[in-house]
Amino acid sequence: MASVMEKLITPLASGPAEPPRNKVTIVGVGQVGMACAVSILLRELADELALVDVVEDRLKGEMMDLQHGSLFLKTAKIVADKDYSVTANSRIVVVTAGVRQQEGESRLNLVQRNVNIFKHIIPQIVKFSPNCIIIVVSNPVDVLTYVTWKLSGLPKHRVIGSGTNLDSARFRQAMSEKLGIHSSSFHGYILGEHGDTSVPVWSGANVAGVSLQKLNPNIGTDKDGENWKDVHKMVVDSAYEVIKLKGYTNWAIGLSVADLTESLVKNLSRVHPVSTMGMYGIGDEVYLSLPCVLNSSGVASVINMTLIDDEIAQLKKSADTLWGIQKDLKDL
Amino acid sequence: MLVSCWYLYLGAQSLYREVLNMTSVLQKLITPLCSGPAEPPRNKVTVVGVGQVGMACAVSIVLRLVDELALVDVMEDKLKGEMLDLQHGSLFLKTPKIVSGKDYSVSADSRMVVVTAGARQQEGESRLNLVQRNVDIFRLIIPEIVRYSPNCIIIVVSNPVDIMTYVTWKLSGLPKHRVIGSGTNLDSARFRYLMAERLGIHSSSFNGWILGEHGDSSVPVWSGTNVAGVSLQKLNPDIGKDTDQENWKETHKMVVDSAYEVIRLKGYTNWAIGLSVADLTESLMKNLNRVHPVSTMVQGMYGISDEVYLSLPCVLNSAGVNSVINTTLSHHEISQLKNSAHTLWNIQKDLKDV
Repeated sequence: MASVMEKLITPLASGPAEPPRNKVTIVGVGQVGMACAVSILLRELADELALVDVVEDRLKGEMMDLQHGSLFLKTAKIVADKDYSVTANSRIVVVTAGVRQQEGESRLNLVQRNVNIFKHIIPQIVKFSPNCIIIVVSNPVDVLTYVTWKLSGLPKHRVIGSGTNLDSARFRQAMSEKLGIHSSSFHGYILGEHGDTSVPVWSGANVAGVSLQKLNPNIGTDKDGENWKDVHKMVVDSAYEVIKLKGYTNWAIGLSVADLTESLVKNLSRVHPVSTMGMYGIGDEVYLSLPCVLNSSGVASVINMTLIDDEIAQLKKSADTLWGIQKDLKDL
Repeated sequence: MLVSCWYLYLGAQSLYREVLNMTSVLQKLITPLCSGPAEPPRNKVTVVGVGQVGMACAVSIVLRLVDELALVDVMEDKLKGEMLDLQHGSLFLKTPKIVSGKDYSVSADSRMVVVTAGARQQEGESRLNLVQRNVDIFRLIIPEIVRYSPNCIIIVVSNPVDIMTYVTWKLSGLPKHRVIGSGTNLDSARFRYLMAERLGIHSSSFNGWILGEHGDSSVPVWSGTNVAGVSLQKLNPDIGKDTDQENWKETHKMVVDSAYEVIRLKGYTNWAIGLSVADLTESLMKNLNRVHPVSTMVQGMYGISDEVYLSLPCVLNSAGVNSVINTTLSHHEISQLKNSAHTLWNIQKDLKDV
């Protein structure tokens, strides 16, 4: 009484199934986590996707919803569980878990609460994927990337913060809009601390190699007649604006994380502004965004940008602020 | 004389320098070449409704062939927030223009419009009541869509999809080949996924169609199920029946239940429907003539006399539903379709203002 399966299919290969080669795990299935997941699936970057969260119903629902789209995807295996064993053998782990800032809560308190969460998450990630690269998205991202690095015991080139990757993408979109060209044709970096005190490197802003600062030496300063500085301000404000309008942001960050994942998984050695262990004479152990060459090893190298004194001072100031918070954290 | 000439020269030079300083970075950087207004979009898609389903459709679609995306909704803040969030991802997309508005003028010149708007069923509400509420909403939406994009193809996703596609067709005045319901496209995708899992192969390598009414009374066409042309029914003539030892019928039941299960677990479904709508979009935009199970006007087929929309295998291309594949159905399957048609018409005939 042979089954349909036995009549239909004759096995050929013997031995166990091949392990995944490009497995990606997403920790946290909130709006950001799922946006990352969908962007990665649509870009066909992973041969296996694992989702982890503590809210079991939602987790299972999200997994099933993605599985139902299998026909339209090239990621054959989508799994999910509360237990980190499901994440085993991941190449990339994207961490979006964490608590949101309460009204009137100090940054230090928020960070300490997130440290306590990360203490459960990070060791488990590393236990099941000791060779992975971790991308930290949770905020405040620079501090939490530092926390992740400390808790994981991984070498620094394998712990990356999404940092100013999104700020730079927003900057390029806003600047290019003013110039009537596509975002990818306007080149400009925002570095340093992700958020209010990020540093737009005006000296590097260019289109087809033509430096905007050469055309307008006052660009980005208060003396600038065209007030280009406003564009950077818009970038900083835009996150708050989207949160005010729809409650959260997710699509842009999801797409930007998929972009980083592509460089890592495909060993591209592309340069991205992401949060890595700082330089420029910054003595403390802090993570700040710099232009990093990303490939299969993680952060292969950092581009030595020529920053003006003012920009270096801003970076140093961010580093001091971050270290001020980090030094008081317990249990790292 | 020489002195005055010299002063004139200096004056002219400083004026020149001033003018040069007054030119913006844009003017110094870029020299326009082509004259005339900007080209209108050639592959514009509008998504009506920016809830979870609408945004899942939008995101799945922007990573394909779309040169402009328009979002429309009544909730202005959320609408603007969603538009900004997508725009911020521009660097990673090839959709240069993303717009939104409460006013349908933003949707002008769309090739395709995806309608996800509508009310959700309340506890204890009758289907007729839900449908009537949605008809009232669609009466505001559909004429506006057609007004700004008279040549578009409309894909209706809102539930109950077969009835809402009929409503859309009536309200739009468009020819029937340009109004499509997402229908059993998703049911079939789920079916192929679950069946393929059982056989250890990829969904795309298992061929099987679920037709008819989207939802509980959908019809799995077991006679057509095959892998590499090998008919599963030939291997197991009982497949899909109650007498089937292997209980393959259970897989269809799982398909029907899976929507409810996902809703129970996470509150709604969105990713799978979004991906399936993007798949339909690709066939329509790229003129592919691929066959998809979507909801179309079936009056006159299989002995159905009422004006109802049910899912059949449709050839989709730039014209919309180019043609329908004449699937050989068993008597049982045809009577199921007829029953669905009857149920749908019973609801449709009492609708007001369609």
